[in-house]
Amino acid sequence: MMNIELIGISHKTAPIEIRERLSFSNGSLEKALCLLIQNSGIKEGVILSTCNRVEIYAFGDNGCSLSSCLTDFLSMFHDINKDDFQNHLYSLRGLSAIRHLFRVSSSLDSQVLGENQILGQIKTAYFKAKDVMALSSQGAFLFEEAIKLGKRVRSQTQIGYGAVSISTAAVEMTKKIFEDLSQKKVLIIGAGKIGELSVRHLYDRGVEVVLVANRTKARAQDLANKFNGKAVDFSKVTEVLKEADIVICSVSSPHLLVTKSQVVEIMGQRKQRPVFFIDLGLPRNIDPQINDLDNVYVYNLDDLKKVKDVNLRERLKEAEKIESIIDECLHKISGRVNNA
Amino acid sequence: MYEILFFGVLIAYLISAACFSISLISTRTFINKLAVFFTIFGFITHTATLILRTIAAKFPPMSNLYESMSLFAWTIVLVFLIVYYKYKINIFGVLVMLISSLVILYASTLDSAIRPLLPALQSYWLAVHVITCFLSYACFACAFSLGIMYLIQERQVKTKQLGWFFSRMPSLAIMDKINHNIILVGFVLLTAGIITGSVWAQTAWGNWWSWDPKETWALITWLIYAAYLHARLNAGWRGKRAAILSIIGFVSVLFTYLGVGLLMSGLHSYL
Repeated sequence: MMNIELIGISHKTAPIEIRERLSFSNGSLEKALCLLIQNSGIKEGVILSTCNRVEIYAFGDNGCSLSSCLTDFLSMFHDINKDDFQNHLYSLRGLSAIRHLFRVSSSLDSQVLGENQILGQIKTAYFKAKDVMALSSQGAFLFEEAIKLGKRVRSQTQIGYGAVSISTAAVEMTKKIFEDLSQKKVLIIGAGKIGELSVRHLYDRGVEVVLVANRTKARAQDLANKFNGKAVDFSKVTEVLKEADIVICSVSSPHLLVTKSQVVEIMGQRKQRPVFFIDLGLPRNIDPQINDLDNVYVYNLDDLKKVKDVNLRERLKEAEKIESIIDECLHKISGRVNNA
Repeated sequence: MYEILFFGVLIAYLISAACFSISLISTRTFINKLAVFFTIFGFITHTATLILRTIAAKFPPMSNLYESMSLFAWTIVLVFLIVYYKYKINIFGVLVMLISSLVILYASTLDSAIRPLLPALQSYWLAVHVITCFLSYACFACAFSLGIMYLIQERQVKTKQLGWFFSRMPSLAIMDKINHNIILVGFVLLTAGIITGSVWAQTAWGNWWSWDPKETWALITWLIYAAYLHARLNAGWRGKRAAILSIIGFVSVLFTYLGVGLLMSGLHSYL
């Protein structure tokens, strides 16, 4: 019979100040694992330490409780008083511990539902534990199951589909309009954070030229350098506007930066090649009526948020499917687990 | 034997349409492979029926409405397979395979008896003329499907109502591009179809052009697509306007093909 227990803290239970104090660095992990399995009663252990969670999984003999032992270990290793973190701690055993592991590996417990990193982090934790001989038959079996499940839900459900942040939603829309970004020009006006992040994503997907216009020339040059781009004088924006396929705007300005008549003229010069305006400004920088023109699309912050929310809702639906897949898996192995 | 095979074609196309639909919901690639398998399987069976009929009748199966319908569906699936080979667009498969199934279904209600070939049609020109014309019709049918898809997707992007279809549809640029390429090919084929018909008319009747209703409507269709290509090249009519033109063009194709035969009499009255 498998006797499993876990304690942990995560973004759901503890603020970052506590999480960072309890996290294990890559270097200290081996030492920690060795110390962990020296505890009497603990035969196998895995430590999962990411920026959003610290979890210790322990497998031991039947009939003895490991959680207080694990708490002591955590407190001792990090030299922190138990009372400082105990309120943030969750402790699970038997099937509920396994359910938790499965939910983590299929990203249901992640801050961003459906994100992909956690599976890799679990794999790393598993191999680390295996390397220092902290894992043998039972724990290895369970973690292999968890990794298998993580892969399975990502290929069989759409949990990872669709952009769920503003900047990735902007990229998703760009791809739905242009398909191939390799010969597209991006013009970014103003140097906001989301704007920069959006350009970063577009740049990674191979846009050809990045033009940066900002009121402070130095900031424009700075940003342009990051993306192998060109800084443009802020007063010359209207001239380069017609070259750009994607225009990202985030300037704090009381009046509209791009007007409809301007775009009508540009579209003639461009022979109607499509343009996508991403308006991240507040108040808005781009006349929303421009969206009525053929082959021109305007998305503002709210629109992108809507895209993101729709995708998130889809992921939540997929999450329900995954919960029942997990139920199935738990049912299969329930006979092998000590759930008392 | 022939009837069974022909029925098999219908079933295969329907299953393929169903599989393409399911592949929009499912993440399993298996369904997708199944859809392609049934399309190809149906197409091969379809080819076999055309060959069988050619052997039985001793002339190519393109002398009456039943035969031409079957040929129409066959060319649509052929053009679709070529497009799908390059661009794996499942939702396009749903539309095209449904259209093909409907054409076959309609054909199966028609009189399928083999009758002796009219003396006027006994010429090698028949195959050349009819096949080029139908290949162009098939291109326009596929462009029509893409035009509809484009308008739906464009509407969704514009109104920001990004529904269920949005994520399952290809990008606007890709639909616009395929639409354009396919119309270009269809236009060349239609031109060739009109020229071969004209040459045939000259050899058979001594007249290049006799303003027979089908000829007139083929010319109208040709003009619509010529206008499309011209407007696209010179005035930048792409995207929505191009999609609308591709739909109007196909309505004209349908009228040339079916409307003329049903409503007017002329030199092409056997179709």
